[in-house]
Amino acid sequence: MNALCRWRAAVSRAWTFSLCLASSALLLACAASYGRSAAPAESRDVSAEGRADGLVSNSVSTLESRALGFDLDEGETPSASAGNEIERRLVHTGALALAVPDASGARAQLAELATGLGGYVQSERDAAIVLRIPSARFREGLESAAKVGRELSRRIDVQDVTEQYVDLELRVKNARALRDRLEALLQKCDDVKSALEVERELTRVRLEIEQLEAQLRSLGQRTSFGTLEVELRQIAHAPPRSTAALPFSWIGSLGVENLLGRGGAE
Amino acid sequence: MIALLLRVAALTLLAVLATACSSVVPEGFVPVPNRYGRDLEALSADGAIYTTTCHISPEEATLDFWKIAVKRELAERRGYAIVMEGDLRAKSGALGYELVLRTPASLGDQRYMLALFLEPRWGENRVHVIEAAGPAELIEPKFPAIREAIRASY
Repeated sequence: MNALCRWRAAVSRAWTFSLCLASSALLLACAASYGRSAAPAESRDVSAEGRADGLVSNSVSTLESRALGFDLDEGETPSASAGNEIERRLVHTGALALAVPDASGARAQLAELATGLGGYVQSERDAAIVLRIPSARFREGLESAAKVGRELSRRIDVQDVTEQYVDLELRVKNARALRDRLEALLQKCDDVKSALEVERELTRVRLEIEQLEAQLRSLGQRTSFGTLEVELRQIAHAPPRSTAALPFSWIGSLGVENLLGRGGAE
Repeated sequence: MIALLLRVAALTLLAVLATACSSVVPEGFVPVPNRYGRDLEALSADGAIYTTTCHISPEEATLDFWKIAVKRELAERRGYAIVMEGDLRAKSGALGYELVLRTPASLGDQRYMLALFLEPRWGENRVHVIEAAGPAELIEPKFPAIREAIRASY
């Protein structure tokens, strides 16, 4: 009897042990399986939520070194040349006041001057004209423009916007990187809520990129072309009687009026 | 008597030759019959005009005198705008003056080139006046050929 009891007890322990062993194995297998399948999902959710929530209230510039952990390499500056020398970005502006006998003719002359230097006329009014002249030839343009009439006043400003330009370039670059990250993240989202949040953030970042690019273009335009405002003050032609007329009739017959009116192109 | 006549004839011929103003026609221009007492009048097929005349210049009148006089007439009195001015050196070495002007708006967008050369002569000096004109887009491409002709002429 005792032997039977001991046998039963031994069988019971062995069974319990086997059961425990099997349970443990099963748990381990489940855990491993769970680890393979569930862990990435959890990771995605966390990253999506964490990043999306964190991004909504932050600007791109602050994000670049925060949650996403991406940034430009140390020392990298988009405008830097191979020799790490930053190209200076200068905005040239100038204003001239000229006394001219023929404002209309002077305007045309100034417009021709600007186009001849590779620039253009930004705006034109009766007594003023605004020229955009390539920065590299701004001084030359200003000096030439000053000769169109009698110079009354002159103002020149040169503003260094290198820092602003480099900052904008960095912000654009980082915003683009952020956009790429978000797009990649969106592909991995299997949760509607997270996907919506990422999508919303992506829209905001795209808009910010457009705005930054527009600012960059505008600044680039300002640095590429200087702005020269020329004010034209019409002066009356010299009164004929105020000076003695020269007794050389051929001088009076000079000019297009006589040249073309007397047998030239008609 | 015959010798005297020959001498007078020779002097007359020299005098005529001395007062004649020779000019080279710019490339692309064709001389046309002179209708207004010009030494040379030439036209391009598209209607630009090139003329030369020469006038007596008082002995004391320097090239600078004429520069001021023509600028005063054209720029100050008639409202032409100066586009460019500068020296012009002829192939002979003579120093001239070039002035390019824009006509007043009332005359359209025309360009007018004026060049002056002062030729000292025994007895009386001469001032050579070269003019070229036409619509801006038409005459401006011809300026190099015109300058070349002027350089070759004086």
